[in-house]
Amino acid sequence: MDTSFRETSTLRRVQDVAYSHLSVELDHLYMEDFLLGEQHLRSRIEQVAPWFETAVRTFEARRPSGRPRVSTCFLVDDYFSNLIPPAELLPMLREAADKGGVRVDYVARESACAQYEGVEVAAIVAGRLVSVPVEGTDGSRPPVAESGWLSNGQRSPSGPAEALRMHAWQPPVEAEARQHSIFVDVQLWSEKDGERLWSCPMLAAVWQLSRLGLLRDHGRTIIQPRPLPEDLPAEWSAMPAVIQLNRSAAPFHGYCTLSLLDSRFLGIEHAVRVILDQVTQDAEVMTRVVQRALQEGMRVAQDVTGRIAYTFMTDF
Amino acid sequence: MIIFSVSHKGGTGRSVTSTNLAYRAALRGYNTCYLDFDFGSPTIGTIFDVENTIDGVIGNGLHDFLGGRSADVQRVSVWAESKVSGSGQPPGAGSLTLLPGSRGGGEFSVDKATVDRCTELFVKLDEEFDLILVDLSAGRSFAVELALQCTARPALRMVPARWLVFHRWTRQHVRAAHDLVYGERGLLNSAVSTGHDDAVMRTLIRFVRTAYIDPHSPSTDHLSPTQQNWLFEMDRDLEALSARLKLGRSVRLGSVSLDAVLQWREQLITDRDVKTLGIAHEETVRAYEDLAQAVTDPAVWESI
Amino acid sequence: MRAQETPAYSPTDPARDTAATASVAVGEIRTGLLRHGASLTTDATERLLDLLPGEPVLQSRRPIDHALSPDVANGVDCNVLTSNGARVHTVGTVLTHAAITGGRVLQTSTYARIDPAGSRHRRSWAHYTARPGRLETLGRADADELAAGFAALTGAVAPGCLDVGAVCERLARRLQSSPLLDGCPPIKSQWTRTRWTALFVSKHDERAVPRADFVLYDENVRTISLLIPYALRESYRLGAVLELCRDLALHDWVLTTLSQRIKRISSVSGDRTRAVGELYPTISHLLHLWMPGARVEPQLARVWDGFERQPGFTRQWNTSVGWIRDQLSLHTLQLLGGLESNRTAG
Repeated sequence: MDTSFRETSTLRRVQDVAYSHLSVELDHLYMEDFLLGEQHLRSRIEQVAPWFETAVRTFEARRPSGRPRVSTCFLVDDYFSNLIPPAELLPMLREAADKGGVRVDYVARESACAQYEGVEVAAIVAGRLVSVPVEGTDGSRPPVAESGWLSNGQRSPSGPAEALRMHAWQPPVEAEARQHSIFVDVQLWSEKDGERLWSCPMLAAVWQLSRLGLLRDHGRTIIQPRPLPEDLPAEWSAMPAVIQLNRSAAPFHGYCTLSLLDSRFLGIEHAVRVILDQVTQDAEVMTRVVQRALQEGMRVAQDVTGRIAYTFMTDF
Repeated sequence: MIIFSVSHKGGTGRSVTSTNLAYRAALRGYNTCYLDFDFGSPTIGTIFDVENTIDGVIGNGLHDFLGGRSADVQRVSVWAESKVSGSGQPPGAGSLTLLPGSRGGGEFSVDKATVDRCTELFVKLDEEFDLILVDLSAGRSFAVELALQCTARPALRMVPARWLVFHRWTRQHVRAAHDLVYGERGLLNSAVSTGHDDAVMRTLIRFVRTAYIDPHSPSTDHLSPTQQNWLFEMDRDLEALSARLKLGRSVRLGSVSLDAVLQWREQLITDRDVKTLGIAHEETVRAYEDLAQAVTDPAVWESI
Repeated sequence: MRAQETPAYSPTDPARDTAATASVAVGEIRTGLLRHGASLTTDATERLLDLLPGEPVLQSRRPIDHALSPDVANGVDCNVLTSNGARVHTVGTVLTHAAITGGRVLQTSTYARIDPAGSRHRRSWAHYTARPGRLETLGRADADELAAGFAALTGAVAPGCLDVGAVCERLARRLQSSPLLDGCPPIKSQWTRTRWTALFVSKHDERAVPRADFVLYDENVRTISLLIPYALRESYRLGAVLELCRDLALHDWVLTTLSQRIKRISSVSGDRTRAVGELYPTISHLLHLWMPGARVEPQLARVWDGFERQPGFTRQWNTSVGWIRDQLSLHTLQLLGGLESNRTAG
């Protein structure tokens, strides 16, 4: 007689998500930008349109096997300011997009990258950070960590003990420097009255991971698109994390992402890459995504930062 | 249980008494370890007569571990490596493990990381050993500060701590011992400022007289009646002074008499030294045994 | 710069990226008694082992309470010694988790698979974070030599060489200082360190597999060397190997601790109060932990069967438990006898 015994609490299940081939982010605006009026908004959208068309055309040309699924999204910054309620902002955005000739499939809100439906989303990503080791890191000592900061190498020595020895200044070192260092130290959060305020690069890193469909909480996906509510609430916190504006849109998540951004975000996105390089990935989720993409004839980089592309735009 | 040995300055016989106390406790069946926190001068290897640790060890001694330079601390099994034991662990004895200091160790500052590491070490040793004897440096030192900070940590809240203050039996030494505990910058005030409760801390401190000459002892028989009378008088005066200075009989854990062997060489006094070689006094051994008994006897520590 | 090194559509060979290509895995397990007076509750266990937000603590209740934390990663860039004394430069991440059995025994375990067919240069860190628990050698290395070199290292680790034990120890110390524990373990006991290697052997290899060598060094150090059939690599996931090693380490610890207790009880047998005082916690806290092979996958159960034949773990266990129970009976008899003689005398 064959017997089998299982306890469900010992199993870890990983939920799958639907994928587009490419997720394109159509610019990013601060809340204040919306205050500058509809005209300003339209000019921004019009600026994005040609870059978007070029990007999609190039992507399609590289993939002769059928028409790829491409979805577009827009991230509303409701974390650092909450000036305009959804009921005002969303119609404004839709109208500007329509007139500008760009379709916006999904609108997401940034504060959902910090916390959503009781899940500490940013904390999940922060918990998976593994700082890049310098040569000689053998595990015998705890990793050097400055709470709330993440660098891409080794900081300059500091502290009273070093000061006493009267050493000359020693430079920080980028772990993956080629001859010379570009050392970056990224603030992940600040703390005020015990509350953690996540930094813009940290939330943007979460945003990238959620677009890539790599975020899980106990194996479940966290940020999934929902339909546009009938009545738009007055508060952003009452909104879903991602709302689907276009019913016939391709899936929100993408095997890879492209962000069309104003040049002012160059620094933030560099910081985002410093963070993403150091986030360990769920091996099972990664393997499944790579295999699914492969079944569709698309080779996806194993490295997260290898799946993220940018176009930084200039207002000519 | 963690036992901290302190004294107001060197030369009180703190280390030699503590080591003999540890030795006797181990013989009584307690798993015992001995930590050389005498950061100024690691000397414990000499007393235990363990080769290669005479001036501390290289690379993974206590200083290296506490300073974060080594992930592990070297342990030396006295039964296996000391010449004292002769043939390994005596029957019925507990383990006796030595954690030596680093060669050329020296003092260092007490920062949060050091306290973290030291607390973790105490926690780990408490999992294994019945008795953890910590020989702290003389006077008000970083070692004392470190011990107070660690024992104030929540992780050690359930681990009983005891403080033994060693002093010789002279007016100057009694006053100095008083100052070490009750003085303005003394142990009690330091304890309170690191978060300990004053009343609780007082119950954890006991005094040990060293190099004591008991006027009743037969060893004073050779003295003239005048000398003996003088000795009685001195003893009475000192007893009165100690009582006034709050280190009298009620808080005294024990006394170790003057033994010629220890004047010449700091060492463990084995039963062989007494019975076969006849170089040490039986009462010295008895004093150490009494100390080992008293330090582990809950009744002794319940009342003042 | 890194963006150029890893183009968005960089070709990856999926065969290279599956778990099965690991031809050698290494690790260390530290086993000790939880610093807690009673069996730790399921709820407290869950909170203690919640090492990573968003990841579950896996708990099971049959045949004994068991909980496993998620893995946390640590980055390393250091040497690994081979059996011929060469230093092989490796880069990547090691994983560490903790397990609690019976609400009593804590194990921390650090491990990694070593891919010996490494690249010439260190790659972008994103390459390694995408493959948690994988170390890659810089330059080719021999898997056999890596495994043998790792297993031979039973003493202190040379500076600059991979020290998985230190990573385990840090987690063990952190957990043992947790406010969730009352800090009053029922008995004094020692930790054991078990270093293990698992070599995935190719089908052309003539060695008999699966095979396991268990070596006891001093009081606390053990090594386990496993040969796992490469052809069966799909069913021999690393999780199963880890489970087997933890199970062996756990039972070896229980046996070691019980032997030490017996030594101690024997040494005080003249003093009945003290002897009985030592017997009680031994019986109530250690004796129910013996469940060899409880969570070991069927294919690897043969390893346990082998150790049961030689040296016979359970045989020694039964003998020891019998001795303990006999001691208790003897003391009870003596106590009754004492009462009897008192009554007669009265």
